[in-house]
Amino acid sequence: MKATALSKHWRTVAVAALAVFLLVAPALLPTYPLSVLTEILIFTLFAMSLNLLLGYAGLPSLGHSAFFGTGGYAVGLLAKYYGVPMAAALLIAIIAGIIVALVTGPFVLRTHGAYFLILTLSLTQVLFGVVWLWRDVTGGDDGLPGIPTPKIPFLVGRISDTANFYYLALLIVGLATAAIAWIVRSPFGLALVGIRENERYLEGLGYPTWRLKYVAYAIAGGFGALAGGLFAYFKGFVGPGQISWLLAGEGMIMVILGGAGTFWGPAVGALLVLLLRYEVSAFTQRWVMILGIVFILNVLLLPQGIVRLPQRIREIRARLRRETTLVPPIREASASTERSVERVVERS
Amino acid sequence: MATPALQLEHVSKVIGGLTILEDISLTVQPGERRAVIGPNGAGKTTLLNVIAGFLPATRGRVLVFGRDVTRLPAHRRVDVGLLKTNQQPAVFQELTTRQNVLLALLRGRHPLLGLGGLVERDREIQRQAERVLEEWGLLDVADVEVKHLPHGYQRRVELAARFALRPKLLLLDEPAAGLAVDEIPAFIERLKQLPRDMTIVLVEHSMRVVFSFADRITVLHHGAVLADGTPEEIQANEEVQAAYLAGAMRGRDAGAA
Amino acid sequence: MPVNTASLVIGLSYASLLFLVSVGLSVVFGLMRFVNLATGSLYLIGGYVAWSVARRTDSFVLALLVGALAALLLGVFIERGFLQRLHRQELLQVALTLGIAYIVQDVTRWIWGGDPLRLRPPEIFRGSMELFGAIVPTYRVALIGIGVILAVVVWYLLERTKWGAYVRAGVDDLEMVQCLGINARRIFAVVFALGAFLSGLGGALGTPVTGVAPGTDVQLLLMALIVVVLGGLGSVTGAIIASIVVALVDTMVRTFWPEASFFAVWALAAFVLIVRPQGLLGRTAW
Repeated sequence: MKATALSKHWRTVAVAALAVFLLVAPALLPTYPLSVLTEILIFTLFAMSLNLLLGYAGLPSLGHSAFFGTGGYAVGLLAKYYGVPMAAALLIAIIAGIIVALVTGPFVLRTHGAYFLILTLSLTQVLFGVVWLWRDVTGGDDGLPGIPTPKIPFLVGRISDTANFYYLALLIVGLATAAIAWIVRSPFGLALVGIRENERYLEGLGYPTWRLKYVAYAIAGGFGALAGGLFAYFKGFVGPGQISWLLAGEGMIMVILGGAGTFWGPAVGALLVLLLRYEVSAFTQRWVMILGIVFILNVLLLPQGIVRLPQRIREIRARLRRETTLVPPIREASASTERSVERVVERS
Repeated sequence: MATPALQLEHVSKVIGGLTILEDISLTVQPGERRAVIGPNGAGKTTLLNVIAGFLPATRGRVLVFGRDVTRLPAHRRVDVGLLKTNQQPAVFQELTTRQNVLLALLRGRHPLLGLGGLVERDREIQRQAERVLEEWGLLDVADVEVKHLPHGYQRRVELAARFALRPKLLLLDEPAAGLAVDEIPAFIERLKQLPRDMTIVLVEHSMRVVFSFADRITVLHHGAVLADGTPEEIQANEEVQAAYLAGAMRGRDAGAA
Repeated sequence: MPVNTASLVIGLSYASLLFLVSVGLSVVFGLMRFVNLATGSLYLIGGYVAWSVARRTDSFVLALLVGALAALLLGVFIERGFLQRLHRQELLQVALTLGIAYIVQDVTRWIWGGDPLRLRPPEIFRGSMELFGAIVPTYRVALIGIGVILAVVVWYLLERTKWGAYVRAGVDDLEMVQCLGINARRIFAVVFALGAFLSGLGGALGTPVTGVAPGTDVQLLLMALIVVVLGGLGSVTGAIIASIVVALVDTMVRTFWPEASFFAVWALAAFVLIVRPQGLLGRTAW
């Protein structure tokens, strides 16, 4: 128990330090790294939204890019053709994502495990196909270029455009992350974990599990779409690549690499994958192979994710020292059990 | 005449062409201790699952305290006070004891599916959880993941969670499974201490438990009710003897199944 | 809709390739309960290696064999080295195969470059022939024949041998099979290796037809997934029928609306899964 108290303290310190760093980053980083950081923020949101399904609820979705792309195209169409301001466009993007989730949910949630994986993949592919074919609206393979980048008005001219958008993204991702943190720590979040662990048992406790999954799916869809919308603004462009299953696969890698079912795991995963892409590709073209190797090592050696590394080290050390696990000695106590039942009886 | 705690009216269950339960009718009075026994494959666990709502009945009706729950999914039956345990304790292995208890306590407490509020900050629920943990002697292992706990403790966590939901009709699926011979008398004592305002239906193989504890016994054979009566009547029943009890009675002195 | 002999031949020859790739995927899925996302990679390896061997030795048969063997070796390596350690942890196994797919795609790009490569069919099958009054590429017809033979062989293996019975029983109820004392791990290993071999063989056979390039793996994997969805888990007959259906739908749609073929087959898959989650001929639902 001492370990958790200490680590909680350190965690608050780390989070605070991170917040400070993020706030002053534009002063510390030149333009290119700053834009990479912006992208990392956006994908952190993407990965965290997928984590709600994959990590917390235990629903392995390989179709999360459907929401990302929906958000992206919503923003693309609204901003480019109708000049809708950012706040409204993003809001509509979120709603679009939620609608896609609400419509596909009743079908997708009938399945589990690998079939769920394939069905989510199929639906994303269908959307991909729609986007590809509907040239008139979506621009087909060419996508929608020329999306104007939103800027915070009173900062224009004082800081670079990159920093300007960075702060916008930071604000939005920050708020979204806080919302996800709140959701995950709520009774709803705990119930999602129950679904992941054993849906039947949770039903036996009186929880409407199907409804919970549906809501989780919709929430994940909304946040995924928000990330997609932000990305469209970031790149100034939206294309079918943002609704492709390769992106969904990358998202899955981010979540598992960082730590599925943990809060910060997806952020760490997004950071690592993007850094890998940008840093490694400077040295060699083989960054995809390296990503694959890193991911395989992760799956084999540290399947719980990087975030759980300290715990894993503790477990390995304990096993090496031949200690039993971190369980306090359990007293043989048939006597106390009977007493406890008596107490229950008295209270009823 | 009080409303029966549980009524089954001509309940049948057919799975893939196989009739697992055939025309089962029985009535359990409030406060009664009913044991359901029968050879393996008689359909006992299926029966409990149908009562609890994990399996829909193919035909017939299930009434709990007068309410027709036949069409209700499992999670809605908890509303009428119906709770069930498993042969393998129905606990969340990766969660801690405390979290298992919290999940039970949190159920139904929050509107909007519980999207409101943080579990850790909810003093009321944390206090309730502490009380439950203390009652059941689980404080020592409160923050240990259940998968690390021995079977007896896991069973305790399972029961603690269910009792927290104030069951009025408790279905126990082979609760003595996994107990050693010398643990059975203590177990029977604990069962006997369960409050009389709680109706109990249990499926058991251990004849010792059944004959010490049950008010009435229902014998299932090939998915149908073979006999239904007091322990004395069942013991005297020749059909039951022939079909099942003879072998099982020999096993009684040896202890559990 | 031009349903003529030529498009039928093209469709059916594609069906042969699809069958080879998807039967492994299907049985592995049904037995081991995870989706082998490296299936396309095995096709790719088979194709690339066959291409290299053919260039060096001018022997198509040798190229086929070596290509299929290379895929088999990779499959055994994946299974022995990695999958066994993740026994029964299905999500991690899927993740692992995703990682492998990434690696294979990049390594093959490294070795063979990014341009599509094609293989010339062997002498006897070059050119065209006349079939039911239409002129069709000879190799395609040969592919259909090879496909039929292999389909029969695989069908026989799984439906008529004792070993096949174990596999089918395992697809239905793995616990029971283990209770009968049959070593699940060994069956897994053999099934996975066989699937890898067939995928590699498909890749080698398909190179004269589909060509091989980075992205072919993804293409074939996605098509194979559709076949498995339609045909159901662990069903050879399902894989055969579904391969034909998917290949024909793809070919037909391609002739009058090329870009929509992709959408059409996926919509078909999504529709089937929604209506009948265990596939058209599936044994088990999830």
